[in-house]
Amino acid sequence: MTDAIRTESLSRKFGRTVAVDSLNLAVPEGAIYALVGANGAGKTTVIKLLMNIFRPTAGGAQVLGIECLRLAGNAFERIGYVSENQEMPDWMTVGALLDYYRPFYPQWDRTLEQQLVRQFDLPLNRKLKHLSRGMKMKAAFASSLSYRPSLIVLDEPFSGLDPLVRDELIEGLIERAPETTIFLSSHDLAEIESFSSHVGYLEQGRLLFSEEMSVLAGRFRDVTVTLESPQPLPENLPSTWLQPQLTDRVFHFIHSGYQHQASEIELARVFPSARDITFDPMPLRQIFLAVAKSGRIRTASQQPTTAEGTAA
Amino acid sequence: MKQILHIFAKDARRLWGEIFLSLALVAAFVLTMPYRWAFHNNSTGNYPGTSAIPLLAYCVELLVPVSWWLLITRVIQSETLVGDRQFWITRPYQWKNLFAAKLLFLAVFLYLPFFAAQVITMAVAGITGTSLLCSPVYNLIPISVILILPLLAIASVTRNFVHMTLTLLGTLLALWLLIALSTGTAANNIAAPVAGRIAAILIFCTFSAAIVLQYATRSTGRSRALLIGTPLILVALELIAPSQPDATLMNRTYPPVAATGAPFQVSFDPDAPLQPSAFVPRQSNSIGVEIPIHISGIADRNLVEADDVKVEIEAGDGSHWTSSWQPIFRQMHSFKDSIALTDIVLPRKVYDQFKSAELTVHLDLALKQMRAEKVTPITNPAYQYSVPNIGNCKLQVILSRPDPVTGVVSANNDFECRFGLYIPLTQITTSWTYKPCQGSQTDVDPVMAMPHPYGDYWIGSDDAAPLDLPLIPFQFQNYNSTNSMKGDHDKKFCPDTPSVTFTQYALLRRMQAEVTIQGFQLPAPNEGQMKVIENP
Repeated sequence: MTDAIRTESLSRKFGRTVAVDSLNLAVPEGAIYALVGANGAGKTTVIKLLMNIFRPTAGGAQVLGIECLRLAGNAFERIGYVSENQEMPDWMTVGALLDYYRPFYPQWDRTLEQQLVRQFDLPLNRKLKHLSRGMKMKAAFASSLSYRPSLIVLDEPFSGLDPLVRDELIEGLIERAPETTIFLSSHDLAEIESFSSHVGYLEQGRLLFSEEMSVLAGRFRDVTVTLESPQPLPENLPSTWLQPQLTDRVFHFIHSGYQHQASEIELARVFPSARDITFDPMPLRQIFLAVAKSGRIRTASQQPTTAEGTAA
Repeated sequence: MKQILHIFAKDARRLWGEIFLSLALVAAFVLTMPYRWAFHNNSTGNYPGTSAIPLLAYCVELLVPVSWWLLITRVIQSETLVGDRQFWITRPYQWKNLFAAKLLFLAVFLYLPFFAAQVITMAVAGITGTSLLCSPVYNLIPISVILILPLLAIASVTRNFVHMTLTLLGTLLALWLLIALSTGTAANNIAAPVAGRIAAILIFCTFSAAIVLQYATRSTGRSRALLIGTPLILVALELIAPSQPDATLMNRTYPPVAATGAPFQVSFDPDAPLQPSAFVPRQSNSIGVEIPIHISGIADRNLVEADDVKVEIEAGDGSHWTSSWQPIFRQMHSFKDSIALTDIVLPRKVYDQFKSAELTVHLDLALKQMRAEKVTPITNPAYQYSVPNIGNCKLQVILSRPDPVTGVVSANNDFECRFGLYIPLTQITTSWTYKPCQGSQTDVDPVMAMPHPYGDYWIGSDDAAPLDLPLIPFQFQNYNSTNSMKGDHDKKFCPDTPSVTFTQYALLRRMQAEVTIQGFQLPAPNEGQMKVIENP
């Protein structure tokens, strides 16, 4: 499988501020890749670097096989870009916007356009400046999906939208998913958990990990060990055990490298007097909170990461 | 091409208001212009209509560029080049197509209407021939370089209309300060006319490059640096440039010619009736010295015009001072053997240093030799007559105010003429008589009955200044083609006599000539009289 997006040591500074720091990322074709992170983590900067809106300070990136610095003109016939803060020609009506964009794309699908207009319930005769934020995003989606792009890049597309609109847009996206790669940024973990296939976590411009959602969910476990009798916290705990806490006879931690049998054997070795051990799967939100709070995993993630594997 | 037209059509639909405003003002410009020149030409102040319309014409002439400013800003910023949130930068726009669409928009809604307006205005003014088309075309060049191109450049590096307006105002203020600064410190370090042309070419090239760079790469920082850097470099060069680069430029433009190979002779006659004099230029800590130079041996049908002068003064004690090239403000045309006044400006400190010494003065004169190419005699001019490829004139009688004692109203004949721009240097000579024409029985004052008094007037130039910015594609002016010293007496053009002659001159060569004056004493200025020096 080839990569729709690949970056190599991609970096961007604004003055002395490092917005993106040596980002190594690979997004396979067909993936729905969610780049998550807190506000100010550098998600938008990464996307603008990929879209050749910003120029990298160092490193480079390829988007659909094109160096991002050469991404212009015809290359955007295969890319759909929607951003929460993108300016639109507000003086146009929705219909005029679609009419205007249509000739730019040889592969524009009128049937799909009409389908999206119906699906999003877009008022064709209303000017964009008179639309609500949700409606504007729908218009942006319709104008970016109607030509069946190979890559859809979305920058915080659902930010500030009510749940109904968000669900409509996600539904529209999922319908396109089989034929396209979707790369989106978000700080709302719940909204991307339901449909992303891959996820990357960005913190202060650095990618802490990047992997398939199922792999990520599979290797994180909320572990509770109930001991026969109180004992001190063992020294030299494995680096994959995050946030270890010992309270009386209960030892609790987040296992970031869970493997079904190996982890149980490892725990039995460290806690021979364990009376009970439970491994609970974790929702994405909890995983990210654990990762964010953990200094160790940050240190461990200094290594380059890819979507196929993890350095954590 | 399809994309160009698509973007063009979008802009035309969106900016119909701005287009309408611009076209309406251009139409108003055409409609009000005749009132303006009628008002302008009426030197007695007895303009037949209300003065509101000519005033409106002046306002319209001012508002036309304002509407262009609006139009250019809006069309360029429809797809603004500054920022990272524009809708179009992640769409399949080809920058060359986008740029071409904007140029097409300006061609259709700015250049074409204005060109048509100029042609119509000239036709209404009665100008025919090649001037009818050439003047408007030539006129678009300075308009493009001085007005359109800077507006385009600023619009391409600013985010929105407010940003553009503030930048424009800031730019105008900065330019004003820079010009004031350079005028105050380098007034006498004026380069040859070609320097102005080079500056215009430099501005054209760098501003064009900044616009193209901005469209191609949206590197706003670099484009802004280019736009800000160019005028700063020009002003800095003006301020700090020593005379040497100026001299190199002058030597290239006006090649020095050995005295033996010169087509005419330049000398100083210490015994000539016209002696050197000095004056104090207004608002200047300097002294002007006028030195009459004798130019002789000019061939028939040729004239010589002095453009610039450089002076080197040396005293007996070895002290000396050299000026940079200075323009000669009093433009004179010398024929055969004649005297040309050369005015040089010395800093007062220099003047005071050398004023009591006996000096050797060395003058380098930048001269132009021109030859009469085309002579158009107008015999017995009718009330209105046209001069092919130049313009047209009409004779007008100007009535004076009644004499307060006698109540007599005297009449004077003047010409009201309209000429195309950028016409070659042309001499208009008139001859008339105060005597009655043959066969006439009119009584005349015997004192004034002198034959064919002669007057002349110059229009056009061999060297169209590149920084002129006229919106009107022709010049209209009155000129009294007589010697005004003769008074307001009735003058007559007689049948079958070439009464008015238009002689067009073509540039033959530019050259430098040297004059050395031994034993020269700087004349004392008349401190009571200030002299205003204006660039011709």
